[in-house]
Amino acid sequence: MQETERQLTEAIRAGDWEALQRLYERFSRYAMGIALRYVSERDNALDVVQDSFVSILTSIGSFEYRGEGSLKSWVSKIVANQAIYWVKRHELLSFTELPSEETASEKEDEVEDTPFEKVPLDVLNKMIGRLPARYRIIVNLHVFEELPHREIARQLGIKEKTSVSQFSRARRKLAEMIKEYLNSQRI
Amino acid sequence: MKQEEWTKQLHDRLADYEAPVPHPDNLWAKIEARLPKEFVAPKKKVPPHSSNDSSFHFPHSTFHIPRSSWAVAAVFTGAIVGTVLLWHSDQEAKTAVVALTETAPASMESERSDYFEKSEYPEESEHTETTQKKMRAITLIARDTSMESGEIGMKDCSPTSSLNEDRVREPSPIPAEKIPEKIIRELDQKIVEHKLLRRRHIALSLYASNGFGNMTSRNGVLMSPQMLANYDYYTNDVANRTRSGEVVYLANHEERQKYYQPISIGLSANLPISSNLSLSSGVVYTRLHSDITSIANWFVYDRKQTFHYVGIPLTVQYCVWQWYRLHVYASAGGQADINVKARQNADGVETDLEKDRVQWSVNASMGVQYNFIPQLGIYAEPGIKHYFDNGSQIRNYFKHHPTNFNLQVGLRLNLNN
Repeated sequence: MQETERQLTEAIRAGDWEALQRLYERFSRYAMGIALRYVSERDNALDVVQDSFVSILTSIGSFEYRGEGSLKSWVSKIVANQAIYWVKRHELLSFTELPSEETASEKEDEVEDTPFEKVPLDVLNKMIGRLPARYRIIVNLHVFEELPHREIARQLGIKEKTSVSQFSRARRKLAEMIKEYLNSQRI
Repeated sequence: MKQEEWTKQLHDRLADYEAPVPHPDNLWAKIEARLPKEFVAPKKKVPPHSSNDSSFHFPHSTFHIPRSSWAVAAVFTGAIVGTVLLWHSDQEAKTAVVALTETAPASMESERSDYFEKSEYPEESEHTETTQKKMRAITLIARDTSMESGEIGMKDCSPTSSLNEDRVREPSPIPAEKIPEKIIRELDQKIVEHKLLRRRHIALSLYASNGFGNMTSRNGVLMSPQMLANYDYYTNDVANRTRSGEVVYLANHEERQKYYQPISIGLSANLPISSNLSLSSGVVYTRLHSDITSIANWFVYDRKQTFHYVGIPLTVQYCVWQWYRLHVYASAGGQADINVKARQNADGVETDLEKDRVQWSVNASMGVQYNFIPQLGIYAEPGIKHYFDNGSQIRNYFKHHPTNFNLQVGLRLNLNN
């Protein structure tokens, strides 16, 4: 039976050094999955995971257990923050605001069905990682970190409408990528 | 599809997605290398009352671990080599300190002791923060090593120790954000190598080995020149054949030899000399057995010879690949076997034989080790060995089969784990 997050947290707090490694073993693949959504190159994603775990392990003392799943969620937030930091440092992250974006958000609310279930998980994950940086960040923050556009706008220093419109474009771009992929699989 | 529904579907599909981490052990080693020493010290349970303290503080209480007593034993068993090793380790750590202080920001030294206090890092400069973290990690590791060597009396032996300490206190004003990331990664790599070296402590091996295949030969017995002289040198066919260069064997005379493969049992110690290289030496006992049967006109004369050698191997091991608990390594070296006892049993009569000369050999092998637990592993080393001719008249397996494949299997006890 797998150790619960509470047990793992308590073991770490009790000074069980091996519990640190168990935490790494338990969440490293999960962290890698997140990192690859932000940073598609595997080596760069590994750098993100490495930085993340240094941060996780040295600040585990500040983690507050709030039920099963809270540790995983905390890990995910740290990895996401590290990944965003990495993207900001290494990629051109420009959120150019176009006048048309004022009205784009409402018009683009509806898109055609996207058959996510037909795409293997690793491919879908990689597709997100290969979106342009500005789309990628917003998709990750909105879909996986479940941040509202207002909060995303605040974090990235952009307008809320820009976040909404970039998200809509990201959806369309992702839908195109999925379509292309499925077509290539039919050949 | 509505945006909310699209978002939910994508979230549900990938929320728990996990991607494989290539070489997870290597990544862990890198992470561990960047953790302050309180986090990487061997585990030790804190007293029960500490676990009830909800406001625990890293690292001061829970991760303060004293050194392992294994180090003392290691130094005791291999004082000279250990001294060299520790000196090397000490020097390496000091190099890291010097490298660090040449690029570290002025604020770094004052904050070093409070590595864990996140609030001390300025939020507006994340790059600086990360760089400082890394540089502090280097310093802590370096200091850690320096302290370790100090515990066994090495610190004061170094004529440059005080100089290095002064240099630590005089950081250069070069700002951390100007340090290229490449340098940071290189330093990370050095830390990893340093940690791996520190982690690789002395290992003791108990092993057995043997060659592949026994050696059997049958030889005729040559007619002696005195016997040949009894024949008419010009008319006899035997003499003619001898003159033309043919060898002449005695009829119904034969000698059969069976040389059994050598069997060895050894005990060796592995001393790391770098993150990938280690030196191994010890003592090995080898038993060599031969059956010699002489047949003369249906008279059979059996002799059983046994040679006992005590050898001293010296090999260098190179770690080729590591995956979880599995290690693959290559090794090469030489061995000197001293014949300590030679006995012969001829038709039930035991006699001493003249001892063989020192038998030198060289060998190369590939090894695979699997660690059941961090402290204990099993290994197998198939390899090739060549025995040099030692010039003695004693016939044995080494002379008749100088190059052979062998297999060594054993248990390896990793100290300091």
